[in-house]
Amino acid sequence: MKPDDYLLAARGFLLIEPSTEAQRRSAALMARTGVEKALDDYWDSTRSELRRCSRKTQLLCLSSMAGPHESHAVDMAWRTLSDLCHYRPYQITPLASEVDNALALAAQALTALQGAMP
Amino acid sequence: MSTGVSLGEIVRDRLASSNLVDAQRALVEGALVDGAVKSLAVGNGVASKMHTEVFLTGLTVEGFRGIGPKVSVALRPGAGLTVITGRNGSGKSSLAESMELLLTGDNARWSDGKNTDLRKSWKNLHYQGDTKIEMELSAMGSPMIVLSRHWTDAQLDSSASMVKLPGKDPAPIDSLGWSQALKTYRPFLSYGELGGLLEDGPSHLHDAIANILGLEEFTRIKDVLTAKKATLSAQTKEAKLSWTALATELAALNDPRAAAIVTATTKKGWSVSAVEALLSDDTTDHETTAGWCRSVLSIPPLSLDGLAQLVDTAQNASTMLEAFHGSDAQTALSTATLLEQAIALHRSVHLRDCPVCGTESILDDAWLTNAQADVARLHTEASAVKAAVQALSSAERQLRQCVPVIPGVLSQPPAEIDDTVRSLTGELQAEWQAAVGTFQSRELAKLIQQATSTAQSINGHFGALKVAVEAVLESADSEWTPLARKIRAWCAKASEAGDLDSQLKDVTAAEAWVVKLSNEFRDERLAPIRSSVEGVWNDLRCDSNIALASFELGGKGTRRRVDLSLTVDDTPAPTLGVLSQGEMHALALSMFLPRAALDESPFRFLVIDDPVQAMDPSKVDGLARQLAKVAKTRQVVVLTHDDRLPEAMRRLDIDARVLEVVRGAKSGVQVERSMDPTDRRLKAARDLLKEKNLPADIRTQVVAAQCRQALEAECIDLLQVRMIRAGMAMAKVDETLEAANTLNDLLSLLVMNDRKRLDEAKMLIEQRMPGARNLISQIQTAAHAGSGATAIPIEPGSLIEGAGKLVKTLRSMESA
Repeated sequence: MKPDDYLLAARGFLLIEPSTEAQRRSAALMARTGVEKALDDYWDSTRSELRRCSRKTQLLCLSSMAGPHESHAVDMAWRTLSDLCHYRPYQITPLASEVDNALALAAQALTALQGAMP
Repeated sequence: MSTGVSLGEIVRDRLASSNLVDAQRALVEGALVDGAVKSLAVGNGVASKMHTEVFLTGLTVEGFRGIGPKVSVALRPGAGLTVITGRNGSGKSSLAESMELLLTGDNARWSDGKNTDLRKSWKNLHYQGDTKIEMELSAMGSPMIVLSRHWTDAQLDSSASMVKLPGKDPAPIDSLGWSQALKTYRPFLSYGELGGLLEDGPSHLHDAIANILGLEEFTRIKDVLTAKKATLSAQTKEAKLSWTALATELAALNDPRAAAIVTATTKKGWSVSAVEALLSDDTTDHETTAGWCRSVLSIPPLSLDGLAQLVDTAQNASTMLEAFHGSDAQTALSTATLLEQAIALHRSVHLRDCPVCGTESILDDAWLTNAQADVARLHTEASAVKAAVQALSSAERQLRQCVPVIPGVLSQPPAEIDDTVRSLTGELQAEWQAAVGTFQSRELAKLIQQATSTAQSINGHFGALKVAVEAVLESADSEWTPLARKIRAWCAKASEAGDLDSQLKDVTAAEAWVVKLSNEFRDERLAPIRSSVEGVWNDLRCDSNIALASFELGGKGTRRRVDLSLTVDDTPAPTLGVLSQGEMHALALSMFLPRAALDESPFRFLVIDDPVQAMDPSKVDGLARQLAKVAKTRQVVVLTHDDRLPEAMRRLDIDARVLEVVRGAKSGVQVERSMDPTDRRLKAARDLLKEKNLPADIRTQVVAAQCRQALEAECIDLLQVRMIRAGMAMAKVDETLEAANTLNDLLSLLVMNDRKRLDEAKMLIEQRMPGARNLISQIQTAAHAGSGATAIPIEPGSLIEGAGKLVKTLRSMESA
C-alpha cells in the first residue's frame, strides 16, 4: 500500500455516519500509518538507516534533511494523529470532525514529503 | 484604525461638507465644545503623551491572598507566550489578581458583588508581615516603571497604588493616565469574567465594545444636543401649555378681539408677532358696541383754540375795514395813479394848468409837495384795505369749516347701546346738525359772535357722551384688559425665547446628523474587530457546530446590546443559550483577544487566568494556536491549573515559557521556570544522543542544528528583553532582529550591540569561556548537511555540553 491508500482507507472509516469511537480511532491510526509510510519512503530514497530510528528522532532529522517547512507539516500531522490514537483517562473521545481536521493535516504532510523527494 | 486625528477634527471636517444649515452646524460645534471633545485622540481616548508598548517585566507579591512570604516572578518583556501552571490553590490566581488590583485598584472577581468573602480575605492568613505588591513594567522610551502598593493594616482601601519612574518621586498611579485605557483595553481576563463578559447583561458587553470603538465621545456630543433638545422641548411644551390656557380663556370671552386672536391662532404656522399685531389693532371691531364705543372715543373734540384764533382774525379784519369806512382800495389806487401821472407831466413839460378842472397856474411847487404826500398815503391805504379784505375772507372760509360734517359713527349707534348714551348721542347729533347750519350759512358778523359758544356747546355735549361711552367700554373691557395683559406678557416671553419650533427643528437635525455620523463610524471601526472576533471564534470553536454569523452593536440607551447571531449547523440560533459553558468561554475569549490586542492599546501584555476550564480537548488546541498567534506581537501570560494547555503547546510545537507555581507549607509559593525554547532544543539534542540507530554523520548534523537553534533562540530572547527594557519601540525591535539572519549576526548584536562586529564579539565570549570560538564554528559547520562534518570528527555530546555552557555564559554576560 502506498501512503495515499492509507489516507483513503482512513477517510473510508469516517464515511459511515454516525461513526463509532473505534472507527474514528481507526481512521486516525490509518492516517498516521500513511504519514509514517511516506516518511519511510522518504528515508528509503535518502538515508535508509533512519528508518530504524524513533519517529521523534526522524522528525528532528527531517528538519535538517528536508527543510523546516516540510518537517513542520509532518510534525503537526504525526503528533496530532498520535494524540488521537491514544486512550487517555478522563478524556472524551475525539469527534469525527476533529479526526477529519487531522486527516487534512496528514494530506498536507504527504504532499510536503512527496515534494521533498530527491 | 487611525489614531492621530482627533474626533473633533473629524467631526468639523465632516460638518463642512454636510448639508446642515448654519444654525445646525453651530449647534454641533457648540456640542463639541460642551462635550469637551477637543484634543482627545480617536479610538483610545487617552492622552498622546502616555506610555505605549507597555510590557510586564516582573512581579513581586508578599502576604497577598494565597501568597505568604515574598514571591518574585521574572517575566520576559516582549512578544511571546508565558504559561504559569499550578494546582488549585497554589497561588497562581493570586498572582493575576495582585497585578490587576495594583493596576486598576480593583478586581473583576471581587467587584461583581457576589464575592464579598473575597474582599475580606485579601490578606494572606498565615503571613504576619505587611502585604506588598510590586510590579515592574517597561514601556517605549521608559524602561523602568515600578508600580507598588503596600498595606500596613487590614483595610483593603487604606493604601493606594503608587508609581515610581527613574529619577522621579513616587506618584499616585493615576498620574500614568492609564485608567481609561485599562477600562477600554482591559489586559486582564479571569475565568469568572470569561462567562461574565457575555452574561453580565447586554449593555455591559456593548459598552466594553463601544469603548474600543471610541463611540463614547460621540455619545458625549449627542448627549449635549439631546439635553438641549429636551430643554427646548420643555420650553415649547410649556409655551404651548400656557398658550392653551390663554386660548381657553380667549374662547370663553365674548369679545371680538379675543375671537380674532382665536381665529388667527388656529391657523397653521401662526406666529407670536401676528398675535401682537392683533392686540394693538383697534380697527377690527366696528360692528359691535365696544367697537362703536372706541370709535366714538377716537373722535377728537372740536378745537376751541383754533376756533378762537379764527374768530379773532375775522374780528380784527372786520374792525379794520370799518376804519377805512367809505374808502375803497381801487379808488385810492386810481387816484394815486392819476396824481403820479400829473406829477410826471408837471416835471416833464412844466404843466401849470390843471388838466382836470382847467384852473390855471394851480400846479405849482406847493401842489407838487402835497401831491407826492397824497400818492404815498393813497398807496398805503389801498394795500391795508386789500389785506384786511383778504384776511377776512380767509378767516371766514376757515371758520365756516370749523364744524365738520357730523361723524358717521354718531348717526349709527348700535342697537344694544344703553339709553343714556343713545339720548346723549341724539342730543349731540341735533346740536351738531344745528351747528353745521350755523357755521355754514349764518352771516359772518353773527357767526363771529356765535361761533365760540356753539362749539363749546358741542364739545360739552360730546364730553358728556364720551363719559357715558367710557363707562360702557370699561364694563366691557373688565374681562378683556387683564387677559390682554397676560397675552402681551406671553408674547413678550415667547419672543424672547425666539422661535422655539425652528430651534427645536435645528437641534433635532443636528442630533440626527451626529447619530448618523456615529453609526457610520461604528460600522467602519467595528469591521476589523468583527472579522477578528469571527476569526478567533472559528479557530477556537474547532469542532463546535455553532458558527458566529454576525456580530453587531445594536439598540440604544438602556437597551443597548451586542447582537451576536449564531448558527447551529447552519440554522440560525436565537440566543446565546445554544452555547455550552465552554463555548461561551471560547466566544468570550474571541471577543477579549481582539480587544486587548488592538494596536491602539498602550498595553502590549495580556494576562488570562484559567481560560482552559470547561473547554474540550479540541478547543484547548484551538486556544493554544490562537494564543500563539496573539503571542507573535503581544506578551501573553496565561495562568492555568492543569497541564492541558502546556501539553497542547508541546504537541503543537508552540514555543512558550512554562512557569510552575508550587505551594509550600504555610502559603510559601515558589515559581519554577520549567521549560523554555532554548532548553527544549537542547533537550531534543540530548535525546538524539540516546538514539542508537542514528548514523553518526546525521546525528552530528542534527544535534548541531538543534544547538544552533538553541543559541539563536537564546540570543533573540536576551536581545528582545534588552531592547524592550531600554524602551525601544516594538517595531524597531522586530526590525533589528529580522536584520540579524544568522547566529553570527545575533551573537555580534548581543555582545557588541552591532551585528557587524563579530570578531570582537567572539573575542569577548572567548575571554569568558575559553574554547567558545571554536565551539561556535564547529556547531555552524556541522549543522550544514554534506559539509564534510565526518571529515573532522566531532563528538555531538560535547557540542551539546558546550552549547549549554555557552547559553549560561551569554546569560551571565547579559546580566552583568
